[in-house]
Amino acid sequence: MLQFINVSKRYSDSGEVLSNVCFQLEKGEMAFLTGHSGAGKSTLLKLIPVIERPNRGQILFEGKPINRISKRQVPYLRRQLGLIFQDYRLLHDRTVFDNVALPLLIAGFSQQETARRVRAALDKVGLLRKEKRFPLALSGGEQQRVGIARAIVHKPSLILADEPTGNLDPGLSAEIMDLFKEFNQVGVTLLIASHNLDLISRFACRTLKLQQGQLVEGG
Amino acid sequence: MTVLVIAIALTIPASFHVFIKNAQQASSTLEATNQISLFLKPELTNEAGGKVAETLNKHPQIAVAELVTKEAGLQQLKSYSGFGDALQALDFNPLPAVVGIKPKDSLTRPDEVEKLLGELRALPETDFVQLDTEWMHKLHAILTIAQRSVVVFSVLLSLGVLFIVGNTIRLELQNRREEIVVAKLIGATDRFIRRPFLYAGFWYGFLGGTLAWLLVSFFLLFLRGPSRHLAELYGSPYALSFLSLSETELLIGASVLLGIIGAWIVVSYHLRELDPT
Ligand SMILES: Nc1ncnc2c1ncn2[C@@H]1O[C@H](COP(=O)(O)OP(=O)(O)O)[C@@H](O)[C@H]1O
Ligand SMILES: [Mg+2]
Repeated sequence: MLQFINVSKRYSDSGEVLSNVCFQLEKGEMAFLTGHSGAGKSTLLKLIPVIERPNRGQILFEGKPINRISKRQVPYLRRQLGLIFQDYRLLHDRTVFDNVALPLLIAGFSQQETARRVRAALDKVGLLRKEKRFPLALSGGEQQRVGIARAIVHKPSLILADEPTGNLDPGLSAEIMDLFKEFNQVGVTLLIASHNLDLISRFACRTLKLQQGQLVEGG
Repeated sequence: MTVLVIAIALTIPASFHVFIKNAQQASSTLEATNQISLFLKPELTNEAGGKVAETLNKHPQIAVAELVTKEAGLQQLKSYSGFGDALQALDFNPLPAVVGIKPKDSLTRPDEVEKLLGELRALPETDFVQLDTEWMHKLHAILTIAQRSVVVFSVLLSLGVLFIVGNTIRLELQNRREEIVVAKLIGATDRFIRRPFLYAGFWYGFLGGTLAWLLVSFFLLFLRGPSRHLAELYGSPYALSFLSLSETELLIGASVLLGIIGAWIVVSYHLRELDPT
Protein backbone atom coordinates (compact mmCIF):
# COMPACT_ATOMS: atom_id res chain seq x y z
CA MET A 1 0.00 0.00 0.00
CA LEU A 2 2.72 2.46 0.98
CA GLN A 3 6.40 2.05 0.29
CA PHE A 4 9.37 4.36 0.98
CA ILE A 5 12.52 3.53 -0.98
CA ASN A 6 15.70 5.35 0.08
CA VAL A 7 13.82 8.56 0.70
CA SER A 8 15.83 11.64 1.67
CA LYS A 9 14.56 15.13 2.36
CA ARG A 10 16.57 18.23 3.00
CA TYR A 11 15.47 21.74 3.86
CA SER A 12 17.77 24.49 2.73
CA ASP A 13 17.95 25.96 6.24
CA SER A 14 18.10 22.79 8.35
CA GLY A 15 20.03 20.34 6.22
CA GLU A 16 19.05 16.72 5.75
CA VAL A 17 15.95 15.93 7.82
CA LEU A 18 15.33 12.44 6.45
CA SER A 19 18.12 10.15 5.21
CA ASN A 20 17.59 7.03 3.16
CA VAL A 21 14.32 6.07 4.79
CA CYS A 22 13.02 2.65 3.70
CA PHE A 23 9.87 0.96 4.93
CA GLN A 24 6.66 -0.60 3.70
CA LEU A 25 3.16 -0.43 5.11
CA GLU A 26 0.69 -3.19 4.24
CA LYS A 27 -3.02 -2.78 3.65
CA GLY A 28 -4.95 -3.02 6.93
CA GLU A 29 -1.89 -2.30 9.04
CA MET A 30 -1.73 0.13 11.93
CA ALA A 31 1.74 1.51 12.64
CA PHE A 32 3.21 4.15 14.94
CA LEU A 33 5.94 6.54 13.94
CA THR A 34 8.00 7.64 16.92
CA GLY A 35 11.12 9.58 17.71
CA HIS A 36 12.18 12.67 19.58
CA SER A 37 10.89 16.05 18.70
CA GLY A 38 12.74 17.16 15.57
CA ALA A 39 13.48 13.60 14.44
CA GLY A 40 11.56 14.15 11.20
CA LYS A 41 8.18 12.51 11.89
CA SER A 42 6.09 15.37 10.59
CA THR A 43 8.33 15.76 7.57
CA LEU A 44 7.94 12.08 6.72
CA LEU A 45 4.15 12.31 6.95
CA LYS A 46 4.08 15.47 4.79
CA LEU A 47 5.74 13.61 1.93
CA ILE A 48 2.74 11.33 1.49
CA PRO A 49 0.07 13.96 0.65
CA VAL A 50 2.79 15.87 -1.29
CA ILE A 51 2.81 18.81 1.10
CA GLU A 52 6.55 18.42 0.67
CA ARG A 53 8.44 16.48 -1.97
CA PRO A 54 11.52 14.30 -1.29
CA ASN A 55 14.91 15.24 -2.71
CA ARG A 56 15.88 11.64 -3.36
CA GLY A 57 14.27 8.23 -3.36
CA GLN A 58 10.85 6.98 -4.30
CA ILE A 59 7.51 6.81 -2.56
CA LEU A 60 4.94 4.35 -3.87
CA PHE A 61 1.31 4.66 -2.88
CA GLU A 62 -0.92 1.87 -4.18
CA GLY A 63 1.95 1.10 -6.56
CA LYS A 64 2.15 4.64 -8.00
CA PRO A 65 5.26 6.81 -7.55
CA ILE A 66 3.78 9.84 -5.81
CA ASN A 67 7.09 11.68 -5.63
CA ARG A 68 6.65 12.30 -9.33
CA ILE A 69 2.97 13.16 -9.73
CA SER A 70 2.08 16.52 -11.21
CA LYS A 71 0.63 19.41 -9.25
CA ARG A 72 -2.74 18.87 -10.91
CA GLN A 73 -2.96 15.33 -9.63
CA VAL A 74 -2.15 16.20 -6.02
CA PRO A 75 -5.77 16.99 -4.99
CA TYR A 76 -6.94 13.60 -6.26
CA LEU A 77 -4.17 11.84 -4.33
CA ARG A 78 -5.14 13.73 -1.17
CA ARG A 79 -8.73 12.55 -1.51
CA GLN A 80 -7.48 8.99 -1.02
CA LEU A 81 -5.94 10.00 2.29
CA GLY A 82 -7.39 10.99 5.66
CA LEU A 83 -5.31 13.62 7.47
CA ILE A 84 -5.50 14.21 11.22
CA PHE A 85 -3.62 17.09 12.83
CA GLN A 86 -2.39 17.91 16.31
CA ASP A 87 -4.28 21.23 16.27
CA TYR A 88 -7.40 19.68 14.62
CA ARG A 89 -7.56 22.39 11.92
CA LEU A 90 -11.32 22.76 12.05
CA LEU A 91 -13.17 25.69 10.49
CA HIS A 92 -14.58 27.69 13.36
CA ASP A 93 -17.30 29.42 11.39
CA ARG A 94 -18.88 26.15 10.32
CA THR A 95 -20.87 23.63 12.30
CA VAL A 96 -19.56 20.20 13.20
CA PHE A 97 -21.71 18.78 10.41
CA ASP A 98 -20.32 21.16 7.81
CA ASN A 99 -16.74 20.55 8.93
CA VAL A 100 -17.14 16.82 8.50
CA ALA A 101 -18.96 17.30 5.19
CA LEU A 102 -16.09 19.30 3.67
CA PRO A 103 -14.22 16.37 2.00
CA LEU A 104 -17.49 15.19 0.44
CA LEU A 105 -18.34 18.68 -0.77
CA ILE A 106 -14.91 18.89 -2.38
CA ALA A 107 -15.31 15.51 -4.01
CA GLY A 108 -18.76 16.47 -5.32
CA PHE A 109 -21.03 14.05 -3.43
CA SER A 110 -24.79 14.55 -3.58
CA GLN A 111 -26.49 16.21 -0.62
CA GLN A 112 -28.28 13.06 0.43
CA GLU A 113 -25.19 10.89 0.27
CA THR A 114 -23.24 13.60 2.13
CA ALA A 115 -25.77 13.76 4.97
CA ARG A 116 -25.83 9.98 5.25
CA ARG A 117 -22.06 9.65 5.36
CA VAL A 118 -21.49 12.58 7.70
CA ARG A 119 -23.96 11.13 10.21
CA ALA A 120 -22.33 7.71 9.93
CA ALA A 121 -18.88 9.23 10.60
CA LEU A 122 -20.15 11.32 13.50
CA ASP A 123 -21.83 8.23 14.91
CA LYS A 124 -18.50 6.37 14.82
CA VAL A 125 -16.78 9.06 16.88
CA GLY A 126 -19.78 9.44 19.22
CA LEU A 127 -20.73 13.01 18.26
CA LEU A 128 -23.96 12.44 16.41
CA ARG A 129 -25.91 14.64 18.81
CA LYS A 130 -23.55 17.58 18.45
CA GLU A 131 -23.67 18.02 14.68
CA LYS A 132 -25.17 21.51 14.93
CA ARG A 133 -22.58 22.82 17.38
CA PHE A 134 -19.64 24.97 16.42
CA PRO A 135 -16.14 23.57 17.06
CA LEU A 136 -15.23 26.14 19.71
CA ALA A 137 -18.23 25.05 21.79
CA LEU A 138 -16.66 21.58 22.12
CA SER A 139 -13.90 20.25 24.38
CA GLY A 140 -10.45 19.48 22.93
CA GLY A 141 -11.18 15.75 22.85
CA GLU A 142 -14.46 16.37 21.04
CA GLN A 143 -12.80 18.71 18.56
CA GLN A 144 -10.26 16.02 17.70
CA ARG A 145 -13.13 13.57 17.21
CA VAL A 146 -14.61 15.99 14.70
CA GLY A 147 -11.21 16.08 13.00
CA ILE A 148 -11.18 12.29 12.91
CA ALA A 149 -14.72 12.11 11.54
CA ARG A 150 -13.65 14.48 8.78
CA ALA A 151 -10.65 12.25 8.01
CA ILE A 152 -12.72 9.06 7.68
CA VAL A 153 -15.94 10.38 6.12
CA HIS A 154 -14.79 9.82 2.54
CA LYS A 155 -13.46 6.33 3.32
CA PRO A 156 -9.79 6.97 2.50
CA SER A 157 -7.45 4.07 1.94
CA LEU A 158 -4.84 5.44 4.35
CA ILE A 159 -5.17 7.58 7.46
CA LEU A 160 -2.22 9.75 8.52
CA ALA A 161 -2.25 11.29 11.99
CA ASP A 162 0.43 13.71 13.19
CA GLU A 163 0.50 13.84 17.01
CA PRO A 164 -3.27 13.43 17.17
CA THR A 165 -3.22 13.43 20.97
CA GLY A 166 -0.51 16.04 21.40
CA ASN A 167 -2.95 18.58 22.86
CA LEU A 168 -5.01 16.15 24.95
CA ASP A 169 -4.69 14.83 28.49
CA PRO A 170 -3.83 11.10 29.00
CA GLY A 171 -7.42 9.96 29.51
CA LEU A 172 -8.70 11.57 26.31
CA SER A 173 -5.56 10.45 24.45
CA ALA A 174 -6.28 6.84 25.31
CA GLU A 175 -9.86 7.20 24.08
CA ILE A 176 -8.66 8.58 20.76
CA MET A 177 -6.16 5.74 20.36
CA ASP A 178 -8.89 3.21 21.15
CA LEU A 179 -10.94 4.78 18.40
CA PHE A 180 -8.05 4.26 15.95
CA LYS A 181 -7.75 0.66 17.06
CA GLU A 182 -11.46 0.16 16.37
CA PHE A 183 -11.06 1.54 12.87
CA ASN A 184 -8.08 -0.72 12.30
CA GLN A 185 -10.12 -3.73 13.35
CA VAL A 186 -12.55 -3.07 10.51
CA GLY A 187 -9.67 -2.90 8.01
CA VAL A 188 -8.56 0.74 7.94
CA THR A 189 -4.83 1.37 7.35
CA LEU A 190 -3.27 3.93 9.71
CA LEU A 191 0.11 5.60 10.22
CA ILE A 192 0.23 7.58 13.45
CA ALA A 193 3.11 9.84 14.47
CA SER A 194 3.51 10.26 18.21
CA HIS A 195 6.35 10.77 20.65
CA ASN A 196 4.20 9.53 23.55
CA LEU A 197 5.84 6.16 24.18
CA ASP A 198 3.63 5.31 27.18
CA LEU A 199 0.55 5.56 25.06
CA ILE A 200 2.06 3.56 22.19
CA SER A 201 3.27 0.79 24.44
CA ARG A 202 -0.34 -0.05 25.34
CA PHE A 203 -0.92 -1.27 21.79
CA ALA A 204 0.76 -4.25 20.24
CA CYS A 205 1.45 -2.39 17.02
CA ARG A 206 4.39 -2.06 14.72
CA THR A 207 6.52 0.94 15.63
CA LEU A 208 8.78 2.83 13.22
CA LYS A 209 11.39 4.79 15.08
CA LEU A 210 13.14 7.82 13.60
CA GLN A 211 16.37 9.17 15.03
CA GLN A 212 17.87 12.26 13.46
CA GLY A 213 16.23 11.45 10.17
CA GLN A 214 17.22 7.81 10.06
CA LEU A 215 14.83 4.93 10.51
CA VAL A 216 16.43 2.94 13.32
CA GLU A 217 13.62 0.54 14.18
CA GLY A 218 10.67 -1.19 12.50
CA GLY A 219 11.75 -0.53 8.88
CA MET B 1 -19.01 49.41 -0.66
CA THR B 2 -17.12 47.68 -3.46
CA VAL B 3 -20.28 47.74 -5.57
CA LEU B 4 -20.66 51.47 -5.02
CA VAL B 5 -17.05 52.21 -5.98
CA ILE B 6 -17.38 50.08 -9.12
CA ALA B 7 -20.63 51.85 -9.96
CA ILE B 8 -19.03 55.27 -9.61
CA ALA B 9 -16.00 54.25 -11.64
CA LEU B 10 -18.30 53.10 -14.44
CA THR B 11 -20.78 55.95 -14.16
CA ILE B 12 -18.12 58.52 -15.00
CA PRO B 13 -17.26 57.29 -18.52
CA ALA B 14 -20.81 56.08 -19.18
CA SER B 15 -22.41 59.42 -18.39
CA PHE B 16 -19.67 61.26 -20.23
CA HIS B 17 -20.46 59.03 -23.19
CA VAL B 18 -24.22 59.70 -23.14
CA PHE B 19 -23.55 63.37 -22.63
CA ILE B 20 -21.44 63.48 -25.79
CA LYS B 21 -23.86 61.27 -27.67
CA ASN B 22 -26.68 63.67 -26.84
CA ALA B 23 -24.61 66.71 -27.66
CA GLN B 24 -23.82 65.19 -31.04
CA GLN B 25 -27.43 64.41 -31.77
CA ALA B 26 -28.42 67.86 -30.63
CA SER B 27 -25.81 69.53 -32.80
CA SER B 28 -26.85 67.52 -35.83
CA THR B 29 -30.53 68.45 -35.43
CA LEU B 30 -29.48 72.05 -35.04
CA GLU B 31 -27.29 71.81 -38.07
CA ALA B 32 -30.36 71.14 -40.13
CA THR B 33 -31.26 74.74 -39.43
CA ASN B 34 -27.94 75.91 -40.86
CA GLN B 35 -28.33 79.22 -42.52
CA ILE B 36 -26.04 81.03 -44.89
CA SER B 37 -26.40 84.77 -45.32
CA LEU B 38 -25.09 86.20 -48.58
CA PHE B 39 -24.70 89.94 -48.30
CA LEU B 40 -25.03 91.62 -51.69
CA LYS B 41 -22.95 94.53 -52.83
CA PRO B 42 -24.72 97.76 -51.78
CA GLU B 43 -24.94 99.20 -55.28
CA LEU B 44 -26.96 96.23 -56.55
CA THR B 45 -30.60 96.83 -57.46
CA ASN B 46 -33.44 94.78 -56.11
CA GLU B 47 -33.99 93.16 -59.50
CA ALA B 48 -30.35 92.09 -59.72
CA GLY B 49 -30.65 90.73 -56.18
CA GLY B 50 -33.77 88.82 -57.15
CA LYS B 51 -31.90 87.25 -60.07
CA VAL B 52 -29.13 86.08 -57.79
CA ALA B 53 -31.69 84.43 -55.50
CA GLU B 54 -33.36 82.82 -58.49
CA THR B 55 -30.12 81.30 -59.78
CA LEU B 56 -29.14 80.09 -56.37
CA ASN B 57 -32.53 78.39 -55.96
CA LYS B 58 -31.53 76.08 -58.80
CA HIS B 59 -28.22 75.16 -57.20
CA PRO B 60 -28.23 71.39 -56.40
CA GLN B 61 -27.08 71.87 -52.80
CA ILE B 62 -29.42 74.65 -51.88
CA ALA B 63 -32.96 74.09 -50.66
CA VAL B 64 -34.21 77.67 -50.54
CA ALA B 65 -32.65 80.99 -51.41
CA GLU B 66 -34.70 84.04 -50.60
CA LEU B 67 -33.95 87.68 -51.15
CA VAL B 68 -34.48 90.04 -48.27
CA THR B 69 -34.36 93.52 -49.79
CA LYS B 70 -32.91 96.51 -48.00
CA GLU B 71 -36.41 97.80 -47.31
CA ALA B 72 -37.74 94.49 -46.06
CA GLY B 73 -34.68 94.12 -43.86
CA LEU B 74 -35.25 97.49 -42.29
CA GLN B 75 -38.91 96.63 -41.78
CA GLN B 76 -37.97 93.39 -40.01
CA LEU B 77 -35.44 95.12 -37.87
CA LYS B 78 -37.96 97.73 -36.84
CA SER B 79 -40.59 95.20 -35.83
CA TYR B 80 -38.28 92.62 -34.16
CA SER B 81 -35.93 94.79 -32.23
CA GLY B 82 -36.45 97.58 -29.84
CA PHE B 83 -34.55 99.92 -32.14
CA GLY B 84 -37.66 101.07 -33.94
CA ASP B 85 -37.45 104.69 -32.85
CA ALA B 86 -33.75 104.99 -33.28
CA LEU B 87 -33.97 103.65 -36.82
CA GLN B 88 -36.76 106.09 -37.57
CA ALA B 89 -34.27 108.86 -36.89
CA LEU B 90 -32.02 107.65 -39.73
CA ASP B 91 -32.64 109.33 -43.05
CA PHE B 92 -31.01 106.61 -45.09
CA ASN B 93 -31.16 102.81 -45.01
CA PRO B 94 -27.88 101.38 -43.69
CA LEU B 95 -28.79 97.78 -44.36
CA PRO B 96 -27.51 95.73 -47.27
CA ALA B 97 -29.72 93.38 -49.24
CA VAL B 98 -29.28 89.78 -48.14
CA VAL B 99 -30.01 86.44 -49.77
CA GLY B 100 -30.94 84.00 -47.02
CA ILE B 101 -29.82 80.55 -48.08
CA LYS B 102 -30.92 77.27 -46.58
CA PRO B 103 -28.74 74.40 -47.81
CA LYS B 104 -30.24 70.96 -48.42
CA ASP B 105 -30.27 68.64 -45.36
CA SER B 106 -27.92 66.30 -47.19
CA LEU B 107 -25.23 68.92 -46.94
CA THR B 108 -23.57 68.09 -43.65
CA ARG B 109 -19.89 67.47 -44.36
CA PRO B 110 -17.82 70.47 -43.38
CA ASP B 111 -15.68 70.30 -46.54
CA GLU B 112 -18.76 70.36 -48.79
CA VAL B 113 -20.18 73.29 -46.87
CA GLU B 114 -16.85 75.04 -47.28
CA LYS B 115 -16.93 74.37 -51.02
CA LEU B 116 -20.40 75.87 -51.34
CA LEU B 117 -19.28 78.92 -49.34
CA GLY B 118 -16.36 79.31 -51.74
CA GLU B 119 -18.70 79.27 -54.73
CA LEU B 120 -20.92 81.87 -53.14
CA ARG B 121 -18.00 84.12 -52.27
CA ALA B 122 -16.82 83.93 -55.87
CA LEU B 123 -20.09 85.38 -57.22
CA PRO B 124 -19.55 88.90 -58.60
CA GLU B 125 -22.61 90.20 -56.74
CA THR B 126 -21.35 89.00 -53.37
CA ASP B 127 -20.09 91.45 -50.82
CA PHE B 128 -19.47 88.85 -48.16
CA VAL B 129 -20.85 85.51 -47.02
CA GLN B 130 -21.56 84.48 -43.47
CA LEU B 131 -22.27 81.00 -42.18
CA ASP B 132 -24.50 81.52 -39.18
CA THR B 133 -23.46 78.29 -37.51
CA GLU B 134 -19.75 78.18 -37.99
CA TRP B 135 -19.31 77.57 -34.29
CA MET B 136 -21.24 74.33 -34.78
CA HIS B 137 -18.34 72.80 -36.66
CA LYS B 138 -15.95 73.69 -33.95
CA LEU B 139 -18.31 72.06 -31.48
CA HIS B 140 -18.38 69.00 -33.70
CA ALA B 141 -14.62 68.75 -33.67
CA ILE B 142 -14.51 69.18 -29.92
CA LEU B 143 -17.11 66.46 -29.47
CA THR B 144 -15.10 64.07 -31.60
CA ILE B 145 -12.05 64.67 -29.44
CA ALA B 146 -14.16 64.26 -26.32
CA GLN B 147 -15.48 60.96 -27.60
CA ARG B 148 -11.95 59.65 -28.07
CA SER B 149 -11.12 60.70 -24.57
CA VAL B 150 -14.11 58.69 -23.30
CA VAL B 151 -12.38 55.61 -24.68
CA VAL B 152 -9.20 56.45 -22.82
CA PHE B 153 -11.20 57.20 -19.68
CA SER B 154 -13.06 53.91 -19.95
CA VAL B 155 -9.85 51.94 -20.22
CA LEU B 156 -8.32 53.66 -17.21
CA LEU B 157 -11.42 53.32 -15.07
CA SER B 158 -11.81 49.68 -16.14
CA LEU B 159 -8.35 49.08 -14.74
CA GLY B 160 -9.63 50.82 -11.63
CA VAL B 161 -12.56 48.40 -11.45
CA LEU B 162 -10.20 45.44 -11.86
CA PHE B 163 -8.15 46.80 -9.02
CA ILE B 164 -11.14 47.39 -6.74
CA VAL B 165 -12.57 43.91 -7.30
CA GLY B 166 -9.11 42.37 -6.98
CA ASN B 167 -8.47 44.16 -3.73
CA THR B 168 -11.82 43.16 -2.24
CA ILE B 169 -11.27 39.55 -3.24
CA ARG B 170 -7.76 39.68 -1.80
CA LEU B 171 -9.14 40.76 1.59
CA GLU B 172 -11.75 38.03 1.40
CA LEU B 173 -8.99 35.51 0.60
CA GLN B 174 -7.05 36.66 3.62
CA ASN B 175 -10.10 36.24 5.85
CA ARG B 176 -10.60 32.74 4.56
CA ARG B 177 -6.95 31.77 4.50
CA GLU B 178 -7.29 28.97 7.03
CA GLU B 179 -10.31 27.57 5.25
CA ILE B 180 -8.45 27.50 1.94
CA VAL B 181 -5.41 25.81 3.43
CA VAL B 182 -7.60 23.14 5.03
CA ALA B 183 -9.59 22.66 1.83
CA LYS B 184 -6.35 22.20 -0.12
CA LEU B 185 -5.10 19.69 2.45
CA ILE B 186 -8.15 17.54 2.01
CA GLY B 187 -8.04 17.51 -1.75
CA ALA B 188 -9.71 20.64 -3.08
CA THR B 189 -8.61 21.54 -6.59
CA ASP B 190 -7.68 25.13 -7.42
CA ARG B 191 -10.82 25.28 -9.48
CA PHE B 192 -12.96 24.36 -6.50
CA ILE B 193 -11.34 27.05 -4.38
CA ARG B 194 -11.50 29.64 -7.13
CA ARG B 195 -15.16 29.11 -7.93
CA PRO B 196 -16.83 31.01 -5.04
CA PHE B 197 -14.47 33.93 -5.59
CA LEU B 198 -15.36 34.06 -9.27
CA TYR B 199 -19.03 34.11 -8.27
CA ALA B 200 -18.27 36.98 -5.91
CA GLY B 201 -16.46 38.80 -8.74
CA PHE B 202 -19.46 38.20 -10.99
CA TRP B 203 -21.87 39.69 -8.45
CA TYR B 204 -19.67 42.68 -7.70
CA GLY B 205 -19.46 43.36 -11.43
CA PHE B 206 -23.14 42.77 -12.07
CA LEU B 207 -24.38 44.89 -9.19
CA GLY B 208 -21.79 47.61 -9.85
CA GLY B 209 -22.75 47.73 -13.54
CA THR B 210 -26.46 47.80 -12.77
CA LEU B 211 -26.00 50.55 -10.23
CA ALA B 212 -23.92 52.52 -12.74
CA TRP B 213 -26.76 52.15 -15.25
CA LEU B 214 -29.22 53.49 -12.69
CA LEU B 215 -26.93 56.41 -11.85
CA VAL B 216 -26.56 57.34 -15.53
CA SER B 217 -30.33 57.14 -15.97
CA PHE B 218 -30.90 59.36 -12.95
CA PHE B 219 -28.35 61.78 -14.29
CA LEU B 220 -30.25 61.92 -17.58
CA LEU B 221 -33.64 62.31 -15.91
CA PHE B 222 -32.17 65.19 -14.02
CA LEU B 223 -31.09 66.82 -17.30
CA ARG B 224 -34.27 66.10 -19.20
CA GLY B 225 -36.23 69.19 -18.10
CA PRO B 226 -33.54 71.76 -18.90
CA SER B 227 -32.58 70.08 -22.18
CA ARG B 228 -36.16 70.04 -23.43
CA HIS B 229 -36.35 73.72 -22.66
CA LEU B 230 -33.14 74.30 -24.59
CA ALA B 231 -34.39 72.31 -27.56
CA GLU B 232 -37.60 74.35 -27.66
CA LEU B 233 -35.58 77.53 -27.66
CA TYR B 234 -33.78 76.39 -30.77
CA GLY B 235 -36.97 75.09 -32.30
CA SER B 236 -35.45 71.66 -32.63
CA PRO B 237 -37.44 68.41 -32.39
CA TYR B 238 -34.66 66.95 -30.34
CA ALA B 239 -35.33 64.60 -27.36
CA LEU B 240 -32.76 63.43 -24.82
CA SER B 241 -31.67 59.88 -25.52
CA PHE B 242 -30.88 57.37 -22.79
CA LEU B 243 -28.50 54.41 -22.90
CA SER B 244 -29.62 52.11 -25.68
CA LEU B 245 -30.14 48.40 -25.10
CA SER B 246 -26.79 47.50 -26.63
CA GLU B 247 -25.03 50.18 -24.60
CA THR B 248 -26.69 48.85 -21.45
CA GLU B 249 -25.57 45.35 -22.35
CA LEU B 250 -22.06 46.61 -22.96
CA LEU B 251 -21.95 48.47 -19.64
CA ILE B 252 -23.21 45.58 -17.52
CA GLY B 253 -21.41 42.94 -19.57
CA ALA B 254 -18.09 44.74 -19.31
CA SER B 255 -18.62 45.24 -15.60
CA VAL B 256 -19.36 41.55 -15.04
CA LEU B 257 -16.34 40.57 -17.11
CA LEU B 258 -14.10 42.95 -15.18
CA GLY B 259 -15.40 41.53 -11.89
CA ILE B 260 -14.67 37.96 -12.93
CA ILE B 261 -11.27 38.76 -14.42
CA GLY B 262 -10.25 40.78 -11.34
CA ALA B 263 -11.22 37.88 -9.07
CA TRP B 264 -9.48 35.36 -11.31
CA ILE B 265 -6.18 37.22 -11.36
CA VAL B 266 -6.05 37.74 -7.61
CA VAL B 267 -7.14 34.22 -6.66
CA SER B 268 -4.74 32.57 -9.11
CA TYR B 269 -1.92 34.72 -7.83
CA HIS B 270 -2.59 34.04 -4.16
CA LEU B 271 -3.45 30.36 -4.48
CA ARG B 272 0.20 29.57 -5.04
CA GLU B 273 1.31 31.13 -1.79
CA LEU B 274 -1.51 29.43 0.11
CA ASP B 275 0.02 26.03 -0.46
CA PRO B 276 -0.11 24.13 2.83
CA THR B 277 3.42 23.65 4.04
N1 LIG C 1 9.56 23.86 6.48
C1 LIG C 1 10.74 23.62 7.09
N2 LIG C 1 11.83 24.33 6.73
C2 LIG C 1 13.01 24.11 7.30
N3 LIG C 1 13.20 23.21 8.25
C3 LIG C 1 12.18 22.47 8.67
C4 LIG C 1 10.88 22.64 8.11
N4 LIG C 1 10.03 21.76 8.69
C5 LIG C 1 10.78 21.07 9.59
N5 LIG C 1 12.05 21.50 9.58
C6 LIG C 1 13.14 20.94 10.40
O1 LIG C 1 13.21 19.58 10.15
C7 LIG C 1 13.48 18.87 11.33
C8 LIG C 1 12.43 17.80 11.54
O2 LIG C 1 11.19 18.42 11.83
P1 LIG C 1 9.84 17.62 11.98
O3 LIG C 1 9.67 16.75 10.82
O4 LIG C 1 8.77 18.59 12.29
O5 LIG C 1 10.13 16.71 13.26
P2 LIG C 1 9.12 16.05 14.29
O6 LIG C 1 7.78 16.08 13.71
O7 LIG C 1 9.64 14.66 14.46
O8 LIG C 1 9.22 16.83 15.53
C9 LIG C 1 13.55 19.91 12.45
O9 LIG C 1 14.89 20.18 12.70
C10 LIG C 1 12.87 21.10 11.87
O10 LIG C 1 13.45 22.28 12.38
MG1 LIG D 1 6.01 17.00 14.40
